[in-house]
Amino acid sequence: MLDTHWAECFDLKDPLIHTRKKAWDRFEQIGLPRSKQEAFQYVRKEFCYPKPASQKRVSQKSEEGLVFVDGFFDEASSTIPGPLIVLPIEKAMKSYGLFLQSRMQKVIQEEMDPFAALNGAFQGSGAFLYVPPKCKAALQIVHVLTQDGMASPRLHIYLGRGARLELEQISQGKSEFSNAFLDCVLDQDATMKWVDRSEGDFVAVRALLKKSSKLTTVSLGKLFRTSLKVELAEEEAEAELYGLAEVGGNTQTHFHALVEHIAPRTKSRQHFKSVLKESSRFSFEGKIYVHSEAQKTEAYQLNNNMVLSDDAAAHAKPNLEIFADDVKASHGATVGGLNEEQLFYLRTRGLSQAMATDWLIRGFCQEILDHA
Amino acid sequence: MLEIIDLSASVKGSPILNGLNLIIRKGKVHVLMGPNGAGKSTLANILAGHPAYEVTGGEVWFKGQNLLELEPEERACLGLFMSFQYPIEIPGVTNRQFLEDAMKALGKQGNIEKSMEALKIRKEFLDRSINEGFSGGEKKRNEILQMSLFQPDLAILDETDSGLDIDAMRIVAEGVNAMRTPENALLLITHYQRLLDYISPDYIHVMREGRIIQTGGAELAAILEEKGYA
Repeated sequence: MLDTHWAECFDLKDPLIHTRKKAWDRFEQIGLPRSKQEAFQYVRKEFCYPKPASQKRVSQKSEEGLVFVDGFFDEASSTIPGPLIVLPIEKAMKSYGLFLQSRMQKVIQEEMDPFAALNGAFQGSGAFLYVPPKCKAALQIVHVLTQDGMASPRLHIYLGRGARLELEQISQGKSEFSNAFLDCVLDQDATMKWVDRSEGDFVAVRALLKKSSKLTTVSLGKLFRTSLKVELAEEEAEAELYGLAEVGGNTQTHFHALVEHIAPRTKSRQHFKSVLKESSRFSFEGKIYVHSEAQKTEAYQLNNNMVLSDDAAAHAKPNLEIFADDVKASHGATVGGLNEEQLFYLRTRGLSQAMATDWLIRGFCQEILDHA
Repeated sequence: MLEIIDLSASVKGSPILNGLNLIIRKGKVHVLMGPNGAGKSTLANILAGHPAYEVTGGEVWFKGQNLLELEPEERACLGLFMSFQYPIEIPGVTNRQFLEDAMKALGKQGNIEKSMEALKIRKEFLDRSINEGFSGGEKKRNEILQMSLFQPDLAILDETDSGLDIDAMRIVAEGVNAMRTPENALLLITHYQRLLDYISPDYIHVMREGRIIQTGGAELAAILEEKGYA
């Protein structure tokens, strides 16, 4: 079915056709998830792939930020405070082509995730956001979904030296298949925080961090699968990845995280939690990869799961691969129900079982919510 | 106020209480003493309704109601309070939310800040998670704070004095004494006589192997202190 979509959307006049073609080739090399494939071991693998959505105009006025409609960057609806610059990718190719072209090529070539590659092939017209050195901004990314077609929004970001950016991603409406992609490069001393509160299917974040820059991601959305990959490419770069999934019914939520420590004295922290009710499913697969040059790395990874139903299941798969010898690293995972002693304590203070349960769940989630 | 008749209980199949009888009277301070493993904390937990303990026989009546039929929160609403020997930490829920909601659930009103001042608890504790990062003494004072706000008819203090230095014990004792009225009662579980220098008891009960083996007045504490439980 995807082959047909690809054949239909192939258009040599499309300014992005070369990028699309490379991404499609990469997607074909990776292939759709197979059973026993490690990164998708616990993830449902059957999806229906609707035709790529077509571009539509809606008049949507947002707070300061970027608006995507069905995966297409909507320049007219977006409000970007100066001196920040946001451009549709094909326009950005003219002014920032040197950076953008090589970055997009590298991201596509190194991609291991089929859905992130698929975004490259079927992307709506994406956007490029440039935050000049030392600038500070807080923006929203709004995904407006108006049709069932496949929505593939794509955003590339470059943060100049010492720039600070806070991004909150939200969504409105629904599509049959949404597959968002965010790429960011942080120059020296830049900091970026990305809080995801969107709903949909797939989200991929790719990040490259230069010297002493810091990225924090907080995944709080209702998504099927979030794939995060962070390269700590220069000294003292730091990444914190947090995620929380509260799921019930037949819903599944999956997190896949890879942090690569490439340079010395880099730091990372991953903390993901889930609260599972009814027949929901959750998995966390996280890897810390410490290259041999990355001495004095500090890397921590933790996954805590609260499973509140016999029919729910959590799968935790923390991984460490360390090739340097002077490293502080830890990983761990817990799976459990409500703490009976805590529940009893609250009940002896007059709170009903339902209320005490609710409080314990809220308390469990708070640790992650505090990072947003 | 509270009548325990021939109470037997076990945890994970092993019996801990063996036909215990005890009557607690309105306006009185009862002290429960006894060696480690006698079943003192088990008794406190059973009265509060801990689900891990299985009552295998006997009856408990509190203010005319069959206590054993009630859920822990119903017991609390009826006026029973237990100060935990090891107060539980609950991350992510602030003390302020907790105290306000518990008072609402129990239908009580009171000035939290004022009660905190009396117990020399610092204000910032209100915005911290329940008991998280509190020292042993701070946790115990937090229990007494709850007791003074909830104004129970019967308060069971399970080794509230253990782990307290002299100053903290004096503050706790003052808090306990301040809430005493002719209408309420207190059951103190303790190992040491020193708490009784600050809170004067009306009755002392000695517990051993899951039952009360001796009951007497305040003078019994001094005898026990000298001769032990043998």
